[in-house]
Amino acid sequence: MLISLQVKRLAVILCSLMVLSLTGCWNYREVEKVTTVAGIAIDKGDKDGEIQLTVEVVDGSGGEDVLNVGSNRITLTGKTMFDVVRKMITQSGRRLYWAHAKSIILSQDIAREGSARIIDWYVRDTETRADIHILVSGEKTAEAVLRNDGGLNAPLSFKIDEMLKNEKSLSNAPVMEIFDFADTVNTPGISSVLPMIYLTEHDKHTTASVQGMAVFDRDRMLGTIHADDTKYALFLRDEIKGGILTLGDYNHPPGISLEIFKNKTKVKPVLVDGQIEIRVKTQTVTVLDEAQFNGVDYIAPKGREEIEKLAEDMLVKKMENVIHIAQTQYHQDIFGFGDRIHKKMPKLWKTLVADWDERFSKLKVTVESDVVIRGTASTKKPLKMEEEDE
Amino acid sequence: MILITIIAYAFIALLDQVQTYKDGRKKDFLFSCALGLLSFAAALWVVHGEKLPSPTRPIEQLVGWLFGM
Amino acid sequence: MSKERITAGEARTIMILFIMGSTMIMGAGGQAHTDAWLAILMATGMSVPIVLISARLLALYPGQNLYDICLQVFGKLAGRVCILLYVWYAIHLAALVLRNYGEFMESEAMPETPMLVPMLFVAALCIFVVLHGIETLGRSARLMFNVCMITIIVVLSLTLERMDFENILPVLDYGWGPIWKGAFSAFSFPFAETFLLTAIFGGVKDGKSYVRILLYGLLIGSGLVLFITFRNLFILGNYTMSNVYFPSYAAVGRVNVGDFIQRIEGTVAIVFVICVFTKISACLLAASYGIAKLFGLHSYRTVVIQTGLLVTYLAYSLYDNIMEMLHFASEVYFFYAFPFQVIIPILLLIGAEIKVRRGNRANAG
Repeated sequence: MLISLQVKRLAVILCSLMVLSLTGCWNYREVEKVTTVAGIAIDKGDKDGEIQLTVEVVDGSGGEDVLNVGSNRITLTGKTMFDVVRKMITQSGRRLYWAHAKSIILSQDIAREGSARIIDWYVRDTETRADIHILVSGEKTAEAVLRNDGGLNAPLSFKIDEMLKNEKSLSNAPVMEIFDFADTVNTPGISSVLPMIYLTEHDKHTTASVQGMAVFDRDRMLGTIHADDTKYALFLRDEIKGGILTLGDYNHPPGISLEIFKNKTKVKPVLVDGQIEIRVKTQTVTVLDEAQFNGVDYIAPKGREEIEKLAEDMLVKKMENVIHIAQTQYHQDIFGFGDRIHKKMPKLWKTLVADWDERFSKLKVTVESDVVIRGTASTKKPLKMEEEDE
Repeated sequence: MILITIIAYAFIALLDQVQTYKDGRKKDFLFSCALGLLSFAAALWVVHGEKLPSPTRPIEQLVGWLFGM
Repeated sequence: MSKERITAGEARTIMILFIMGSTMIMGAGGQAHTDAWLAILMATGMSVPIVLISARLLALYPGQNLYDICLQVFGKLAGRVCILLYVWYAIHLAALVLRNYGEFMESEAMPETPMLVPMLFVAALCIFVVLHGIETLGRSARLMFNVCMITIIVVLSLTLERMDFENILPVLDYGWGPIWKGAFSAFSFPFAETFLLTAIFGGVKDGKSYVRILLYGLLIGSGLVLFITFRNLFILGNYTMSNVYFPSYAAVGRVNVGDFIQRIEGTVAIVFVICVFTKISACLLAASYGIAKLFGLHSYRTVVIQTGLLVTYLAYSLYDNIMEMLHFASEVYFFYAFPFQVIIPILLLIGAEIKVRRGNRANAG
């Protein structure tokens, strides 16, 4: 094939141009030259107007084994978030690399004073990812939580990330990514919540545990709700993906555990006599996974209905309880009822939005629950099927 | 940077202008040279750090005046 | 020198990619917030007449492009003024789109690289394609369109789980005012800009009617823009969509499948670059045709390189920062483009119809 001189010259030129661009972009950085951040904890600094940032970095010192990645912590203070982040170079010697950061822990002080200004930098910066998890520390400082070793070689923040990912099997705390939080802070019909993280003692070491949630008014934290009630709040928010419902307990029949497979919560705003009311209906599909007593025959449809009714009543009672807490203790619509009104009855919402917090506190909410027991796992009756005659 | 610009333009001139001249299109060649010089001047300007006059402001003003905004 | 003819399908594809242009990343009708989709639908409706005018003009003067038509309808002097105006519009539009790309690169992808660098690379590519003629542009458009579609579909399947279809509610939350604003904005950017394509679609073979090519191009292009708008809305919700500069980038950035498939914003950039490249090439081609016609040059090829470079320098100098870019695009552009997109086309149509009628009568009589 005859290739003219022109074409050959052109080919050479193009190839050499490509070489220029293949060497990497303008400000290319090698992996060893950056410090990878696993997670951060934000506290108030000792001096007025200062923030203290604790960064947990991934550190190769754990050993040659790929699975044993060590971690290290650096704490610094500064005037603004970005100020401290850049100051980190003085201690780590390199710029921080944010792509693998998994969690942000805020101290209660920071959360109570307004968390939006703290996370603005994180949301705005292009190197940080918006899907990082955010939590509030239940201890005195956020740093305390991040610094505890947990007896692991892996960075605590990665463990927290896993805990949050597995929350869906437990449902005792909400899982919030930072953009979710930013969205709900700015939506007038719903108040934000964040999961709480505490330290617990276990044979001489302390580990972190995630349970319960913090209630916010816009971006200011007001208080917490206990893990037991949080589950029912999650029901109302339609954020349940798993978990269990217990009926009775060790000493009180029926001692049944129902494993939640699926839940769908429908929230409907209705106008009754000119007043807005909310009707909540949850549909939960469960499997009976534990029966401690043999008091109820749940194989027969009548027996099963009895248990379903027990579960439904309990759910309704607990959900009403948590609504009551939100209404009287915090006056915050953490369930998003306002947002539903906004979506379904926008004109009405315009008249309600201005003082929604008060209106929410007086809101009449009716809760209905429908629990279906789909199966009883692999055995039909409890282990001890009959009482022995004494 | 200026050196790179000069080299680049010399290169382009080599490919572009010389070809046009050889094709015998005098008019095209002259026009291409004129445009090329203009472009070269602009390139030096930009490389020097200055921006070309931006039409954005005048357009905004024109629109504002025409539509009274 | 080749005959500069493209097939109907290629023309349609160029038009679709042209419409997608920088809208893919910047979003269209943003002033209407959650009702942006409504604004886009309305804008499409408003653009249909413009597209029909374009088709009619091309049909009345077969084989001739916008500039030939200008000269025929308005005569030597006014026609040349008209050509000059459109050449300027084409250059300015190319610079605007290139600047969109540059701003994106600077804000999201490579903040520390001087803006001129990525812009020069894309401009060089456009110059290269235009030098090789419209058939090359047509063929590359067809190929790249397929790449675009595959990318969009793959990304869609990954983003599906993050979508909340209720984000579209409540409809008409903000009333009709913002929707009209959004509609006018979407009309001028990007739909009615397609009138500029009249300058390069002079040589479409295949004998298919222009109306079908251009109308389908408009509808498909608009459909894709609508689709992307919906996707972004369902993923982001009202607040984030209005707050970020590049909604598509933010939307796709949230994808995180099993901790493995993440940071796929690069795919959005692929689609963006393809569309931007096509749009700039089309504008550059239009501008080069115009300059050649204006100065009676033998071929438009002699001016392509320099014009392309000038477009790049212009793009670099256009604004001082991204805020100016947004302000210009949302407040000023509609009025500035109006003469090019509506007034002159209508005048051309009227003039052309009159001339052709007269010509026919003269022939018949």
